[in-house]
Amino acid sequence: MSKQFFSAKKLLKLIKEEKKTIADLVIESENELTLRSKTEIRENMKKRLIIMKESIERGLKGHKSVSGMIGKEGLKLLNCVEDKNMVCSKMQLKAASYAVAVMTCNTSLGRIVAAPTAGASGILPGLIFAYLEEKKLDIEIGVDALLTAAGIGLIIANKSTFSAAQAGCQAEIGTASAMGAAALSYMREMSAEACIDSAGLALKNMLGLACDPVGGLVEIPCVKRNAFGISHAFMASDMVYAGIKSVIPFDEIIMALNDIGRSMSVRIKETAQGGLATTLTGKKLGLPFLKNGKNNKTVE
Amino acid sequence: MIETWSIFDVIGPVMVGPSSSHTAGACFIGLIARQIFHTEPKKVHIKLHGSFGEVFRGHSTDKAILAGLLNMPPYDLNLSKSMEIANEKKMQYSFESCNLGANVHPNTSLIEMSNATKKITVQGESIGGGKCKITAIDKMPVLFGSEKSCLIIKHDIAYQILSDVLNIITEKKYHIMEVDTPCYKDRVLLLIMIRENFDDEVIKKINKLPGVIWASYSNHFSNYNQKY
Repeated sequence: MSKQFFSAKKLLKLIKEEKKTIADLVIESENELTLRSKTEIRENMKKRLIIMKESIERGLKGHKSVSGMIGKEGLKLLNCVEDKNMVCSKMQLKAASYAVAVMTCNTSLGRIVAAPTAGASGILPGLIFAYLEEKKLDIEIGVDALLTAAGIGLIIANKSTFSAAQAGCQAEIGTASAMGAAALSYMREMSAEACIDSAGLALKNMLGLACDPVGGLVEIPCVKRNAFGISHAFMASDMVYAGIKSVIPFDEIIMALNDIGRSMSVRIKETAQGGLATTLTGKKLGLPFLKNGKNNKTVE
Repeated sequence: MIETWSIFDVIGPVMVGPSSSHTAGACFIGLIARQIFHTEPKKVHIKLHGSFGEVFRGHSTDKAILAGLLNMPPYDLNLSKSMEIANEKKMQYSFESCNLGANVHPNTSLIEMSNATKKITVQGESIGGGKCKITAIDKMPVLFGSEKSCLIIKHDIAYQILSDVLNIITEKKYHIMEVDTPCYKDRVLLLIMIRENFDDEVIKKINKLPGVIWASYSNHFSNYNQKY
């Protein structure tokens, strides 16, 4: 029987029948699709995880972004990880600081792994490396976590889109957050069903998110949104750990994402013609980067 | 066509920022266009539609497409210097924001490439996460991405060359996945998609067939996936 899955329902069915993890099935489906060997697929995924680590390190050096609006955010957060006055957990702060670091690496034209997109590329590296470091786990567990996340990503790719120009930021940060929640639940040794439920909870709360970047740059609000994406993944995973389930099944949440994406105006789909991009400050900062400096009405 | 997503499209591509659809995907469109032109074009005119046309400056979409046309992959750290590199190589380039219509994907680019002997236009859309699709070649509708290799032959409608081409391909023991033959006026595009990679030997043989205007191929990018 084919190991390809285009829905969470099919994935769960395969898991039940074959008694395998999401990561195993993801490798099998990739093997079927590309005919590459299972070891090769795993090794390649590990290479990508290592590039993610390099992006974190580069980002923490605090390179200035193209526009100069973004720079040392990751480092600032990391400096507060041990601070007793912070209200978030140490792991969460670390994950957020790594996520922001990857995004500063991206905005300063460094090399990153789009996961699933460049604008949301901080969430998975942040979650995986913060968890591995805090729990002192081996990198191979990180590879499995990344494969689990890829499984969630595949379902969304096949049923929807990763393009903010088509469906807004919910398709980018929302997807990454869902993938991250599944990866986190996997590393906590929760069941496959729990992983998909965590992904569902995280995605559900990201529905409707507009893509309205200042000047059309992947900087404001994208960079900080990666840190918030981390919080969503943490909360989703914890809620499922506590026994809460996602009432709406994962596949149906994706349909909702498509529906909302279609109803969004093009002004808030990566065109810099609405939302934050057309606030007074957004216009002032973003104008030099837009086509002929042309812009729409200001929102007051 | 059913989209075939590899997990390396989901966790990937490895790329230089800032945007997967506006930088990496745009670069891939350029790379495929460059493969279709087969050599380095002397002159390129790049039209940017929808979101591409609005925010290309902040996302380096223009530089990324040009980098692809110069055969640079999305992970090349020199991607943002593509204009300087094009100047050095004396490649003429120009950009234009345009509206290709309401039904066209918001991240679409129409690339016109030419040299002394030929002119080819390629239209592609960046569908998110760094993945792209080629949707038209010389105004004829096509549909393929970077996951399979595509042989592209433009020929005169008066000649039937399909069986000759298939003979050349089966000699090589390639696995054919899809065949398509869109046409426009008296011109036909013959597209043959396979799992393996094409080579120049095939093109040499096809160029000898009657009625062939040009023949070229775009190979799939799994080599790119293997590097990273």
